[in-house]
Amino acid sequence: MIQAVIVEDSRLARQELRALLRHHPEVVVTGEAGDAQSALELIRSITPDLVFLDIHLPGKSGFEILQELESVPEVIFTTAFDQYALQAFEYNALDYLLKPVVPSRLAQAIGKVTAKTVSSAGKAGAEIPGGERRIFVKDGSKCWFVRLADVRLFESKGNYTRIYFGDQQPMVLRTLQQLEDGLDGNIFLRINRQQILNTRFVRSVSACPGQRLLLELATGETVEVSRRQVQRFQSIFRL
Amino acid sequence: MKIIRKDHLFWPVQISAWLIAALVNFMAQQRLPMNPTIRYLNSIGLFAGGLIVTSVFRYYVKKYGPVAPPRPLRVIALLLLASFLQAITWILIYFALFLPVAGVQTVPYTEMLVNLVPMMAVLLVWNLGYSGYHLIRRYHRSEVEKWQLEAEVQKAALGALKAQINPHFLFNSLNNIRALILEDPQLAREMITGFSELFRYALQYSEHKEVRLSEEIKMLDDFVKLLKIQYEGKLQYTISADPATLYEKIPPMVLQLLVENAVKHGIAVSSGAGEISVEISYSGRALSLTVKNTGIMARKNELEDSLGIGLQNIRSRLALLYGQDASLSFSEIPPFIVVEIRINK
Repeated sequence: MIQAVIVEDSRLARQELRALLRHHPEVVVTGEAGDAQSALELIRSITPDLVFLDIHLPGKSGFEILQELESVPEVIFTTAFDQYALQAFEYNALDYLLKPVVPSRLAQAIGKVTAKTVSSAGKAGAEIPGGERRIFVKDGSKCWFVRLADVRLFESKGNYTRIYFGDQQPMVLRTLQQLEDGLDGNIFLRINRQQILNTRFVRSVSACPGQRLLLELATGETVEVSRRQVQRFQSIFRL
Repeated sequence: MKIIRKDHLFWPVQISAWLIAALVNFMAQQRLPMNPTIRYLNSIGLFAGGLIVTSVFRYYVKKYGPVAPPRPLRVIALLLLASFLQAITWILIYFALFLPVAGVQTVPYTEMLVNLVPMMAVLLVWNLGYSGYHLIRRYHRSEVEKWQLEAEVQKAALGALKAQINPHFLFNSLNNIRALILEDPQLAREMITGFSELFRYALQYSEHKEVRLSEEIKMLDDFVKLLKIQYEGKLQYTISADPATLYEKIPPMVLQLLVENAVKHGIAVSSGAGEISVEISYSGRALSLTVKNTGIMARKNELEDSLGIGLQNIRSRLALLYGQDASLSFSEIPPFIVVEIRINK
């Protein structure tokens, strides 16, 4: 069973989607929201598996809602006319539906979601909690849904933070502190004033003058652990 | 618009023409039993005088524009007067030239005065040629301008049609009607009728320059009904029109574009309900079309899409149709944003 919420500003559009979803008993609509603020509250409180999200909403856009979420569920965008905006996605971990929605297209989108939730449920035991969590990243016109497990480094750039994953390094308008609060402290460690490291990417450790540590990542990059953070770093690795 | 400038040809032609005239005059007088000084002065006077008086004529034409043909008698009178004054000036130039030699030589003053008539004739030909050339050029230029205006009108019409078929409005309406078919089939049927009327209107009238206000208001009603199924209670809409204005004519779909703009920036972006009111009345000699919506200007500037195009389109159509007699203005009277069109009638 997939728990879904519908975020649409038009009541009739929500009703239309509900009507279409009646043919998909595996999807249960557990909530509806008509604007950005109630959508955020709803998604945070019931943590659904799937969100049908309109891009144009009163208050904020659908993209902005995703950026504010600490953990992003599966998303199917619904829009009357934005297929070009949606093509901006680099990691196409989503689908989009154009309204009025063609039933077969909806079936296809739900098929993708079912396949995904089944496979991640199978892996769930093996994964470290929080590793499957994803965040939504938007930099300029490009968007990504990134698994936190794939992020190796967060780097502070004033009010912005650069996020390193794969060969990408987009910037988001959030401070490093704001991001740190939403991260699992057992995996992500503040290694110095500028950087938060995904400790699972560390390949080797070497000592450095001034009681600091030099880390080599699996990608070959090197980062430094400041003196003040060395102890915390060691305590995690002793585990 | 680029008109090839031929002004640089004026001086070479002007100077060489008068030089040739002076040379011909000089050669012709060589056979006459005449004092050489007088002969030289004669030709110099012809050259200098002709050059000066015609250049002065040109200066005035350039300053005040060529005499327009709608009043032919006045044109002829002006040209004759100009030629007469020029001829007098020309003769005065001759006199001035001969002044230094007046004591030494016999100056043919009488002959010079007799020359007044042929001089006037020559000048009249020059003036006619010059004015005619410019009138033809101006005619060509106004033809080009007329084509450009027509092109602008076409562009505006196309722009209006595009704005009319705003894809968000189109697909959202269709999606809402689809839901209504289950919920309220009767209302769904009405909406489809309204939808058809709206698009028929857009297709038929978007190329017209003006439509009657009463038709525009009827179409606006259909448009708002469709908006209401999208926004339901969120959209509060009122319209008030002075019945006397209903027979006035305005460019088509102007009201609709303004309301669409108001919805986009007043209703769609706010979480609570919003108000849109349309007021049509006379204000002095002008017809005033006002669309108010609740909202904030700053937010308006962030959003940039068909709004800009829509308002630009209205502006250019108003300018083409009414020139200085129409205006479009924005103002903010919290909590409203007010867009007003005034057309002097």
